[in-house]
Amino acid sequence: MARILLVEDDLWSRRLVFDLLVLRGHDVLCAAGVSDGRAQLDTVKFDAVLLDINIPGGGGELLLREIREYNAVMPVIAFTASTMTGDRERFLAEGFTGHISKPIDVKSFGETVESYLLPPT
Amino acid sequence: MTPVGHHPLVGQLLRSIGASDVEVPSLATWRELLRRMSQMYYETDLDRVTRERSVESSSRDMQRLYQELKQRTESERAEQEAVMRATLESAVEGILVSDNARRVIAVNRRFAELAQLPDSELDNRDQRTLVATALQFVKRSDDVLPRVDALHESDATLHDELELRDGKVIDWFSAPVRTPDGVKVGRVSFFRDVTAERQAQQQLEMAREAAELASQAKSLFLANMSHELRTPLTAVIGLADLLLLERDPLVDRQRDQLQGIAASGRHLLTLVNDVLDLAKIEAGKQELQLESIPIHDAIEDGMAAIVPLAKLRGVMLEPATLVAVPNVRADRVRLRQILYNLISNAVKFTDRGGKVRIRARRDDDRVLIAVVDTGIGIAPADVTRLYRSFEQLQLPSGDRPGGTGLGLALTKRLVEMHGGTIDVESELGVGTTFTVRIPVA
Repeated sequence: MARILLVEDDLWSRRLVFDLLVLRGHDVLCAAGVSDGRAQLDTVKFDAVLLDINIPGGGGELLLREIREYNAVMPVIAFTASTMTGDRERFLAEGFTGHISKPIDVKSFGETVESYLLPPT
Repeated sequence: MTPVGHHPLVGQLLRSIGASDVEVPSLATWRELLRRMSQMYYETDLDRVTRERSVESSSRDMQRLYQELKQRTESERAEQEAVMRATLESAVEGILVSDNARRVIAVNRRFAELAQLPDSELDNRDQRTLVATALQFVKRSDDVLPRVDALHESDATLHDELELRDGKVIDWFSAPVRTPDGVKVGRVSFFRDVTAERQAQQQLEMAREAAELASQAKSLFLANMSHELRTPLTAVIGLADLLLLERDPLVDRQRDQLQGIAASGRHLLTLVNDVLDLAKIEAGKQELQLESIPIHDAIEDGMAAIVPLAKLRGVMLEPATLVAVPNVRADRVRLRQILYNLISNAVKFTDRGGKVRIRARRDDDRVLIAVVDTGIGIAPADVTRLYRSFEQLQLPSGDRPGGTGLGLALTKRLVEMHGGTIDVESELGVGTTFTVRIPVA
């Protein structure tokens, strides 16, 4: 079981991912934007962050850079509807641990997220 | 000298009147002699006058002839000059001709007009000062005079444009003037007002740019729209799928309805994806990640996703026989999309019991991939509509086939982006063959 922060501004996408991860036994906290997510990160210790890119308050990339300033290893997964060729490479180069594109495959989503988690120490 | 001391001519004269030239002549002889001499003088006088008259008259003739000739030549020359001048003045171009010493040989009013000089300047016979005066109306004229100087030292021709301070654009062509045997005797420059042409060109260019910008804006709008549409679709499809996965039992009717939501959501998603792809290609934002790809892998990739549909429709899928075919140079994702579109189309338009075969072979510097079906075929009239967006062929049942009506439009553009070609051959009731050629890696 992992504690995962989900930053996603679309209410029903958030509900879907929340349900999927909770069904698999994870502890999920949600944020709708950058400042909301920053506040959660300041108060709770997370095992992973699922981060939409196109979110209010500066975008997912801004939040990622802030996280990377104090934590280089925590899995941060870009979660976007963008499919431009080369996006995936760009996200990895920016410091994301992985990339999951929307729409998600409900059947495999949980496993994909879990594959990015660090082994328990 | 005769014995009496006569001049020989006098002696001769005396002899001619029968007198002796040795004796002293008688008075009668003197008289006769005097008369003869007088007569001779008269005759000589007469002769001289005649000669003088004759000389006088012939010289007058000569003079008249000379005057006539002179007049004729002058009028001919004047006529020629008038023709030359009229020719110069009727030219659309401003014309300036100078000799090797840079004296102005010919210049027309149009030149003065274009150079915005008073006509009085046309009398300036010094080409260099004339040009210098004209240049005061030319923008960025600093280097022009040195260029003109250099030009006069050379055999070069020049074609350039000059911009005047009032915004006019002047086309300038300069060439050496040569005699028929090739000796350079001077230089001629033609000047033409091309302001209107340049303005028209500029307006055309601006209109083209505006149209391009509008088209790009449209494509960008579509791309953004599609992106925005994908977000709620994620939730629609995902939540329906999630509900279908729930352990709580659903009645069959509810399960059907949920599947309807999920399937329609996926259909909408495909449509949005295709619109997004087309928009990206048209906005020039679609980039290919070209790599060397084994064609059999790509075919297998494209086919895998269609196997369930083929099974459902009772259509047999026959993959390409594994003969050695060189790799293609393609974008993995896009090549898969091309093959998927062609194979799924073939399956959709082939009746139960039919067959869809895929063949691949080398064709010169390309790899040919053919998707051959035994389907309903395409009427010749419909072939031209094949690659248009949102044009879908009808199934004999009247149902719309699945898909978006964008598949072939997108496929054709993707193939062309790879430097490839797509062709179709079809016969109603017999089947259709789509042939794609992609460059060898």
